[in-house]
Amino acid sequence: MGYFVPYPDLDIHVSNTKSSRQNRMKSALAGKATVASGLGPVVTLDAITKSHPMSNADHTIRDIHDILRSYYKVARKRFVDNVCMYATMYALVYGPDTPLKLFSPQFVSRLSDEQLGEVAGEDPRKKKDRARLLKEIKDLEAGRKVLN
Amino acid sequence: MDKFGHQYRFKTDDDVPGTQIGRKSDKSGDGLKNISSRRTPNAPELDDILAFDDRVDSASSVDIFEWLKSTYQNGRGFELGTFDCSLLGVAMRQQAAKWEAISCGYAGDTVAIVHSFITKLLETLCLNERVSQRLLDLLLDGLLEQYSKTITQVKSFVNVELASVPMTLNHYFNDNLEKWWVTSSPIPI
Repeated sequence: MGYFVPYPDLDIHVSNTKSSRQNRMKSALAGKATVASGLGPVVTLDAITKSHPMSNADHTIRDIHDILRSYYKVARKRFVDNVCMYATMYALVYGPDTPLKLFSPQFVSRLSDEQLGEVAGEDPRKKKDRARLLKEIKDLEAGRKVLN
Repeated sequence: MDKFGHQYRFKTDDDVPGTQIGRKSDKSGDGLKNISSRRTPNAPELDDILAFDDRVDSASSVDIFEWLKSTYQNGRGFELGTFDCSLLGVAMRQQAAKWEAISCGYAGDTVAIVHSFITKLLETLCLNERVSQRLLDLLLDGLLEQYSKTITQVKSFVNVELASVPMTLNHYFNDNLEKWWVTSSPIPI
């Protein structure tokens, strides 16, 4: 359904329509004009009748085309703006809840000790090595004590 | 979007004023093309949420008047000199059929760029690869959720545009119409 929201600025003004109709007529007829002496450009009646060959259906289709074209243009601009502004920029880059802001102090403080250990803790192999070395030191200390 | 968004080419002012209806469009010199709406490659972990049809054909070579004529004639009712008001919505939906692929492609690109930024940032900031990889694993669930939310939102925008009634408050709608009616319509006598 084609709604046309009533809004003062949107009405095609009567005066405009009149002048555009005149212009339209002029531009359509200009090509058929011949110059008659003393009268300036003249269009014969036959030429005028021939210049209007469209059927009703063709006329309607022409109107639909123009309306669709105008609406498409406006809608496309609106759509591109909306997608750019709301969907991508706001959701991904600038908004309060973007992926860029996910890694925050709050996020870190929510992690469990286990998870933190996994991320920032030592390599398991190093951990094992360290434990082994500590044990070795302890054993050697014990051995030294015994020798003393 | 400017070049590939529409399904059928509109007649523009470059065409001769008062063009004959049904004239075959002769401006299809660049031929039919099929492009992808994506420009940036995906990281493998994004493949799942960015899986949508991103192929877009260039505008059909079918003459727009031919198409409108058949649409109009197929849906003709009891109108006298006017046209069915739902026709515009139907025509708009067909004309803008490729919007979803294009906009999702754009959003997908943005997601891919944001994701590669985050990945690179973590790699640079963290001492070694293991730490950054672990952190990324932890973050990934939240990231993916937000990425897919973005895509859903883009799709909902397409839906709003095309499923609801065509409507605008933009005065350019009328400005354009008037301009074209002056330049291109045959005289109504």
